[in-house]
Amino acid sequence: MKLSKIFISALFLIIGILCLVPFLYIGTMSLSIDAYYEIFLSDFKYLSRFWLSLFLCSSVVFVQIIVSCLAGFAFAKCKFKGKNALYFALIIIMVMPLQVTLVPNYTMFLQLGLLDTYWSLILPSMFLPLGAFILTQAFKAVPTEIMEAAMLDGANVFVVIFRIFASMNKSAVVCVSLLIFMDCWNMVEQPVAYLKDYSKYPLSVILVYLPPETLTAHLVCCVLAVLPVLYLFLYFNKELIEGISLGQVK
Amino acid sequence: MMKKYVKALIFLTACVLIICSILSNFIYNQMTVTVTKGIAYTQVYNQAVYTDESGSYIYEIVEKESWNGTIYKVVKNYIVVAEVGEIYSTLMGTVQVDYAVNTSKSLAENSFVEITSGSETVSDTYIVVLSDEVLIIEEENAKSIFYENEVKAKLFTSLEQDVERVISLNDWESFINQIPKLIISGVLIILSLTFCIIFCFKTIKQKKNSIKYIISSGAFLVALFFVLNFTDLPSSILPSENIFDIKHYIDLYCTLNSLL
Repeated sequence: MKLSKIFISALFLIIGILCLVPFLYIGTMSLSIDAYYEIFLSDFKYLSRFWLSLFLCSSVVFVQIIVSCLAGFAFAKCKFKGKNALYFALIIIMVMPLQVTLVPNYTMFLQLGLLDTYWSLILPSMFLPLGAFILTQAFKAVPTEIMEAAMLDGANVFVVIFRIFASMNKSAVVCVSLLIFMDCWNMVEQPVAYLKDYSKYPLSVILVYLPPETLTAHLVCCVLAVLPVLYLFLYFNKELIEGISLGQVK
Repeated sequence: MMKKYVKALIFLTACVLIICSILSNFIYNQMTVTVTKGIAYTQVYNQAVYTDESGSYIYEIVEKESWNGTIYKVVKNYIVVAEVGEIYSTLMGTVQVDYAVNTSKSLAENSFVEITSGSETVSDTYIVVLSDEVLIIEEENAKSIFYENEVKAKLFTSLEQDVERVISLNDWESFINQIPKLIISGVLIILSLTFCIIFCFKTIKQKKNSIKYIISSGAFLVALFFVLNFTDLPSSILPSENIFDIKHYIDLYCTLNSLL
C-alpha cells in the first residue's frame, strides 16, 4: 500500500517535472544579452506587436463581458419562448471546434469587406459563448428577490445586471475575462486566415513565423508573450478558480 | 497578500516595457541607413562593390512588409566583376536588381535602409585617413547626407591611393550637439524607473498617496518620448550593429583627437 503510494507520487513528480521542462528550456536558453537587445531595443517590431495584441485582447474582453452579462442575465432570469433551445444551441456552439467556423466567417468577412482588418479578429471573439455560459450559471445562483427589490427601488435592468448581478459575481466575471483574454492572446488560426498583410499579425503569430535560425530571439519573444498571461493569472488566481467552479452545472 | 507584490511587479514591468518601446522606436529610426538606389544590369558603381572571403558582392535592396508598412532591407548579392573602370565595374553577365549605391554608413546583411534620391549641397570638412598620412579636405559642394563610400571613391580617383577612412566634421559636430539630449533622455529614464520603484514599494507597504509617483513616472516617460523625437543622430557616426557599442564611440573620439 505504502509502496504503491510512493510509486504514484514519484510518477506524478516526474510528469510534473516534464511539464516544466519547456519553461526551464526557455528560461535557460533565452539568457543572451544580444537576443534581449534585438527583441526589446533594436527592432520595434516585437514590442509593437506586443502592444497591438494587448490592445486587441483588451477590446475583446471589454465587449465580451458586456455581451456575456446581458446573455447570462437573459438565460438565468428572463422567461421567453425557446430559451432552453437557445441555451442548448449556445452549448453546442461552445463545444464546436474553431476550425468549423473559419470558412463561414471568412466568406462573411469577404462580403462585408472586413477581411484584412482587425474587425475580422475582434468581432467573432466578442461573441464567444463561453462567457455567457459561465455567467448564466453564476447569475442563476443570485436570488430573484434581490432583482425584484432593486427594481421596486427604481433600478432599471442595466443597473440590475451590471451593478448588482455582476458585482455579486465578481469572481465569475474575472474568470470569464481571463479565459477570453487567454483565448484571444493565443489566437493563431484567425489572424493567419483573415489577415493577408504580414505587418498586421499579432505577437502570437509572430512567434510561429520567426525563422528557426533566430532560436534565442524566439525564446526571448516567448518570455514577452508569457508576461501578461502570467501576471493576470498570479493576480486573479483565486477568482479564476472560484469562477471555474461556478461554471459547473449544479 | 500576494496581490500587492504582483501589482507592484506589473507596474514595474509595464514601465520597463514602455521605456523599451520608446527606445526601440528611436533606435530603429536612428539605425536605418540612408542609401541611394541604383539598378544593376551590366555595370555597377565601384563604391557599391564589396569583397569578402566568398568573393565580390553588392547589397541588393529587398522590399518587405513590416509593422510600419513597407520597409527596405539589404542582402548580399554575389557578382563576378569582369573589369574595373574609373567609375563603374563591368559585370560578367547581367544582374537585374536594385542595389545600394551610396550609403551613409557601412552596411551589414539585413540592415534596414531608407532610400533617398537627392540631398542639398552644404560645405563640409573631411578628415581623410590614408595609409601613411591624414588629410583635411574642405569641400564646398558636399551633400548634406554624408555618404562615406561615395566620398572614398571620389578621393580614390583624385588621390590615386587607398583611403582607409573618411570622417565628416559636420556629422561629428552634429553628433556632439545631440549629446545633451541623450543625457537628458538617460536622466528621464532613471527618474521614471526610480519613481516607478518608489510606487511599487509604497504599493507593497499599502501606503496612501502613492498614485502621484506613478503619475510622475508617466510624465517622465512622455517627456522622454518628446526629447527622443527631437534627437537625430548622424548615421555615419553610429556603429553598424549595436547603437550601445561604446567601444566604437571611444575609438572614433580617440581617432579624431589624435588627428586634430
